[in-house]
Amino acid sequence: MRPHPLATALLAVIALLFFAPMLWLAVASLDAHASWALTWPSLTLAHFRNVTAGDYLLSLWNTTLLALVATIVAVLPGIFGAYALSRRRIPLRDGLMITVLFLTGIPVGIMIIPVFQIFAACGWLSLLPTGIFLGANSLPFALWLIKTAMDAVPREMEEAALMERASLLQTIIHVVVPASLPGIASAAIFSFINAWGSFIVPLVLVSDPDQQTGPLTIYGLIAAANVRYGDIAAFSIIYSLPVVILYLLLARSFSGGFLMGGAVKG
Amino acid sequence: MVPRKGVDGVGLLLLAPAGLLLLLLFLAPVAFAFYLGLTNISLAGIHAQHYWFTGAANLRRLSQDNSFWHSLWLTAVFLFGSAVVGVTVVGLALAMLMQHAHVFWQRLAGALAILAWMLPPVTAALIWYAFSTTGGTLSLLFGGQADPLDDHPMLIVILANIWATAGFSMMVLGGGLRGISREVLEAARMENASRIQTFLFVTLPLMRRSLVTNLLLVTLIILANYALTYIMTAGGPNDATAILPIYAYQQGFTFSNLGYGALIGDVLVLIATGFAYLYVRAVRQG
Repeated sequence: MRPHPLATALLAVIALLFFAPMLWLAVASLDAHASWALTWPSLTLAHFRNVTAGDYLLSLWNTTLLALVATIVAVLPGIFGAYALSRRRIPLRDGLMITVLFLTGIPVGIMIIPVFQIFAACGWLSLLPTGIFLGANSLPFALWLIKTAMDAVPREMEEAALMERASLLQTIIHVVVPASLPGIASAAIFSFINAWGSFIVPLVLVSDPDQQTGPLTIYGLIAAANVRYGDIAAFSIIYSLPVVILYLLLARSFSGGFLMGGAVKG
Repeated sequence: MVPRKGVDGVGLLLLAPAGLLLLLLFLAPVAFAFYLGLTNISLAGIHAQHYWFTGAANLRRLSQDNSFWHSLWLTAVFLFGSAVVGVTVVGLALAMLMQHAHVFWQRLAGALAILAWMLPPVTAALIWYAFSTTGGTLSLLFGGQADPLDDHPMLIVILANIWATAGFSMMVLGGGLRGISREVLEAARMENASRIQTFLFVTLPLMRRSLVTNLLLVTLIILANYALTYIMTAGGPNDATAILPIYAYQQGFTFSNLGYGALIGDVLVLIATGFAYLYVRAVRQG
């Protein structure tokens, strides 16, 4: 179909509307005299130097740790659970799958008060348990994605492996997992991004300032008495970059992978 | 390999870690929230350690709490504006325009909308705070002195949520649009249907299912992503953007009323459950 000029014009306006707010972030990160205003920058890389040291790096490291724990907690139980739901005789399986789908829609952030109370009572107000909680948060969607991927793997492959006297565990790890890797990778990336971006959960559940994650650092900088505009912008760019790269990786390797954003972020 | 009869112990064992995690860290907190919501627990003070069941006291308080009812109304306005009007309309407009616009603008608009969707909530919040506060890009358009975020907080917060979520809905609805066969659209053209008639009587009815699923999903996504709103306004100014998740958070952690905050959280869980139920039904019909 030939492009329609009116459609092109409208889309150009929408593109501009999406672009306009982003412009400040890029400009301020490079501007020696940055403020909230969008002005012609006096170029400097000082902000990027400032935010790749000390506490900034520590908070990025904490975010990485949190996201990795969450990913492992969602993906490993997810693989075995999905295999059971896909292949084994589980009572009430259909009901369980509906429950899993249902849980992908329940935002965990709104249950923050009871979780805080439980974690406070158990002395778990720190990074690692918070990562485990965020992993459980992503688990329903991970189960759903991995089971869908495993359902598409032909059973003959694992039956052949079992004939060769491979154990069930070996068969899952060496046959089923490689065959359903796209689904598992989507689940892993989703869990990682979900924990990486989460704000309210670590705000409430992580009490030690040395375990602060990236989003809380940015929030603290916005609320500070002396706002360091350029530093916030530069740090936000560095903090957001891994998420963008992971999304692109996902979109490139698995077509339709973008839809994995289909579960609710915490 | 799988026993034909009786209990499949191995299968249950494989399912156990996932099942236990969901039970302990997902379902148990929800159940606990309903108990806490009916107690006088507080964040600090004597009721932090020694709290007890207070029956319907919190419920009575809830029914007489004007801030709660106001917050419920704000939540309805917020969700309607951002999910129904905003994301559905903008997402559909994007998806439709993508099919008819010049390929350069297709790619650019698609990439920007998806980038806005990919950015973590705190980055989106920072971008929109800078955009809409005094001296920001938006206020420059109105002369530089205006503070749009303070003057029209709900509108700005809704726009920020649309900006951050429309890319997702564009992808979902774009998939739905591509599913409509060219023959159907050609047939409509042969019958001399105008573009608007084709859209209203062919495209929209065929898109019904994707539109409904997308709307429910986007509503849940926006409800879950209240950090975006919280970082921009913290519910202010004067509670103008204190939607339910923010009001629950404030009651619990700002005013130390953990029990009462939990009860407001329960209302949210019920609302989200309603949407999630409709979502599951919509998905399973397909």
